[in-house]
Amino acid sequence: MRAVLSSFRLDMARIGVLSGGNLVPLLIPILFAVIFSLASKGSSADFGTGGVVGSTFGVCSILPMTAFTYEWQEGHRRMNGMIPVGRAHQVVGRYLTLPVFAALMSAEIAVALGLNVLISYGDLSRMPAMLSAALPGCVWGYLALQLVMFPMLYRWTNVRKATMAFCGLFLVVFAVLMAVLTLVPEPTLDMMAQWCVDALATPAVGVGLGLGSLALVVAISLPVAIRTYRGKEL
Amino acid sequence: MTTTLPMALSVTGTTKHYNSGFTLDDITFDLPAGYIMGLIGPNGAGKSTLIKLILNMIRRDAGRIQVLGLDAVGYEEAVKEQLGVVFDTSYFVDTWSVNKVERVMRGMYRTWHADLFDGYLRRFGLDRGKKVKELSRGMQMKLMLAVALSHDARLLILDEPTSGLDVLARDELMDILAAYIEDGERSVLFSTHITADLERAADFITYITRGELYFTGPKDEFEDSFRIVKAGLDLLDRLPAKACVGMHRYSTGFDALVRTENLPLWPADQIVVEPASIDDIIRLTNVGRPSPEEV
Repeated sequence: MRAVLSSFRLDMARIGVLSGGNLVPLLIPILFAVIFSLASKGSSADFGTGGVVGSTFGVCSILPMTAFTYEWQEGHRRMNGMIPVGRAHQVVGRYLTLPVFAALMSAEIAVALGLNVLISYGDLSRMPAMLSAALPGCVWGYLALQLVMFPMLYRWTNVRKATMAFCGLFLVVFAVLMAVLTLVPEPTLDMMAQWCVDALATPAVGVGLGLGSLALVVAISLPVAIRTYRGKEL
Repeated sequence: MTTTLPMALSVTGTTKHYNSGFTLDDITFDLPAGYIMGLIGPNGAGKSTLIKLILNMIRRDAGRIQVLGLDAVGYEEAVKEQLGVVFDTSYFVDTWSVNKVERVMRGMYRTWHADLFDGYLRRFGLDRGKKVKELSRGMQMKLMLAVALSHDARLLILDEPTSGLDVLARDELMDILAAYIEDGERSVLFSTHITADLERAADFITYITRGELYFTGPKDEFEDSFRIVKAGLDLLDRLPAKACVGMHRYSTGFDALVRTENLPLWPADQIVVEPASIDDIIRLTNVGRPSPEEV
């Protein structure tokens, strides 16, 4: 446990999200919130929510990858070889950063959306509904994305190759979805979609499905990442 | 090398193959506790590869490595808790300040002596507010050394720590290492191709060339095992095959590296014999003996 926490603290120090210049990217969604809300004020269009959530998601997606990019530097990579933390514990420590960044992202979405709502509507009465609609899916998507990316970032010490592999995975998912949409009759699709909407609208089912699916992804992602990293030469 | 002393480091039959064709082959040596061992060899010999194997940064293909009595792979965390490591270049994040380096590193080890670290910062003139990238190479090395010396490490491993340092900084480092082992329980392994550092500080030498172990043992024994023989070219075609280990030919003669026990093979009245320095041994073991046709 001590080794895992040491690794977690090291990765947080690497990423340094709350230090100086590293705070600047986190201000971007706040800025967008102000811009979008001013832009949509007085009009029937509301692109503030999507814009704010999307920009926050994007900025926070890069944060966990920062630990990898530091490791890919020749000099700093050697630090992983001399600290008293085994490879498996290093990987687990890095995975522990994900809930932290998911919480950070949630807090930022809340602040940015709050600004957006305040400027657009003058009060925060819509906030609970907007947060309950935006946050769960956003957090789930964020964690799922990182859990898929992490083994790829351990596999390829080059962000371009890792993201290309990730894009390849998305293309496969897209191909499967297109096959389903093409081959499954439309009434059946409508019925399945409605069932999903009704199920996810029920908190117990939605949260259960969300947590269960994330647990499944972790159960695959973590061992793959550990196995990949154990085979790497520093 | 046979000894009943407790071993700080024990490397047995360690081998590493690379796809490039380079092989670090069957390396075996021991570093007794309380001593300094110099790991020497020309560039590309395998010194850094060996250090990476000890640190489990790369996988070995054969052999065994024990650090302070523990298997380096099976007890990796316990081993590294007692290791202090200094590389030829900084392993810290460039944008970290010296202060942040301490905050990060003290969380890594069960034992951290803040007073010791502070003392080393003052001794080395390291400003806590400076970022790692703002430090000179020598200062970066000193920062790594300060970290290595501040958590009760029982074995220091230094990979080319003096390359790029001036003579004053190198002298200071050798003084620190000598003081470090004074208690008789702490040990140092440092790789270098600056043999002047070894002359001053090392008790033992392990010499690797072309991926193979050439010698391991006391430094004095290493130097005493060889002599430099200087002679004229006319002597070359009259020597038996095992007369010398390596040779450097000049237009008027040659320098040959000869094992001390093979000196009787040489005609004493036609040669000049000199002691061999570590540099001589490394230089002449990495050149071949020219064939008679090449003379």
